[in-house]
Amino acid sequence: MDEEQVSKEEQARKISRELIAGGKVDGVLALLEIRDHVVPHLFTEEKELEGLSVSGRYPVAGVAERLLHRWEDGKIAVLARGCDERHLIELGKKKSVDLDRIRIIGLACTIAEAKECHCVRPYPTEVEVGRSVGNVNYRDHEALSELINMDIHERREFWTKILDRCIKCYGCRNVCPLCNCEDCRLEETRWIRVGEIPPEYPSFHLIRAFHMADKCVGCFACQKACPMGIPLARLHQLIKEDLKSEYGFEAGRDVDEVSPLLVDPHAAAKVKGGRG
Amino acid sequence: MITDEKLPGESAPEADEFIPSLAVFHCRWCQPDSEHVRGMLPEKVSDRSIVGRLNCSARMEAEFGIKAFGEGYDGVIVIGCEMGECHYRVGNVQAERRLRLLKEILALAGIYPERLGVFWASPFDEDSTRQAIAEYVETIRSVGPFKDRD
Repeated sequence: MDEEQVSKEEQARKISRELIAGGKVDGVLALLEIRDHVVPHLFTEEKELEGLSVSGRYPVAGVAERLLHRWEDGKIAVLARGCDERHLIELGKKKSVDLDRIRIIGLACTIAEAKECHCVRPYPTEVEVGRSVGNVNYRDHEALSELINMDIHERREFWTKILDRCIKCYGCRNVCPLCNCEDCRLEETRWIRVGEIPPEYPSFHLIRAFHMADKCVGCFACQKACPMGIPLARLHQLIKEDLKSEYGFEAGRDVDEVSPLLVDPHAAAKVKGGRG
Repeated sequence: MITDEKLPGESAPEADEFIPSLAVFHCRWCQPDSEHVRGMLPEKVSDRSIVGRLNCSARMEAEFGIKAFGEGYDGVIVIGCEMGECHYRVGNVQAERRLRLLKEILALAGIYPERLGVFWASPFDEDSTRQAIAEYVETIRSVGPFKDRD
């Protein structure tokens, strides 16, 4: 492991140790290294912190959500990358987590990590561990413009061919901390036929794409989780960019920012009154 | 639109006449009667189409349209109240935003966004709605059937 990662680990352990010892939080949610992989873990004792990993990747926001649901007065710290923080903010918007009970320890991604995820903001709002790589843009220009420049027939051929690989494992849904409705449309036989692989075009993937449109923070977890190598993030990224250019909306930026797909009848006074 | 779609030239002659099948969703406040809406479709098209009434165009979920394409319908129509006339004040504003996004997603997935027709219709001016629908049907005919095209 290189020096940067070692010093990041030291920083993360130091902050966690202080938080636990000071009794400010009941535990620190971070990744624990076991042999050659990582698992999300709630560190509650100082001696456990030896195993804390800053190089592992796992969207921990969903774990934080479930933890706080079951533990009504618990208060935790979360070692969070930029995307983890944006996940938590989106969950806060849905009132699914109580952000007052979460202390975020901001973890900056390294350049290599940012590149791997084609990240456009690989750092949380406040960096405490590591150093922010600054304003970078590792957007996957090549793949995205390839998709945009296709004509509609090519694009349909491209997607039908790729989506035919789908084995409907629901990995993209399960890994996503924000794709967490209790009743999932993708499990309803009205919308998706049961026992069929691949799922019919275009229902399965477009329903998910639409549902995630104003929530996706671009963490790339769905694409990494896909065992069949379907480049789902390309679709999500372009949809995100569309909402940004059309309404200036960006998911995960601010807990008070309302999705443009929700129009509040009371706030929208500009709209002329209806039929009285 | 992120993508720049060009419709195929309308001059392309169809060997056999292609009659599109449509899934039509309409708001109950500007068009209370589904059978009446069916009557606004061109005759041959209406036989192959389904018409459903919603409480408001905002009730139109993306799933309805996506599933209709999945079932093989060639086009999806949404009819809602004119802007400023929504019974729920902003239902149609919300619907407009969502349907615009849905069109964008369809285009990215390789489906002509024109297949989704959105009409803000006045109950007092049915002729122009009828005409807009007729024009829309012509567009779908030039685009072709959903199953083997796009």
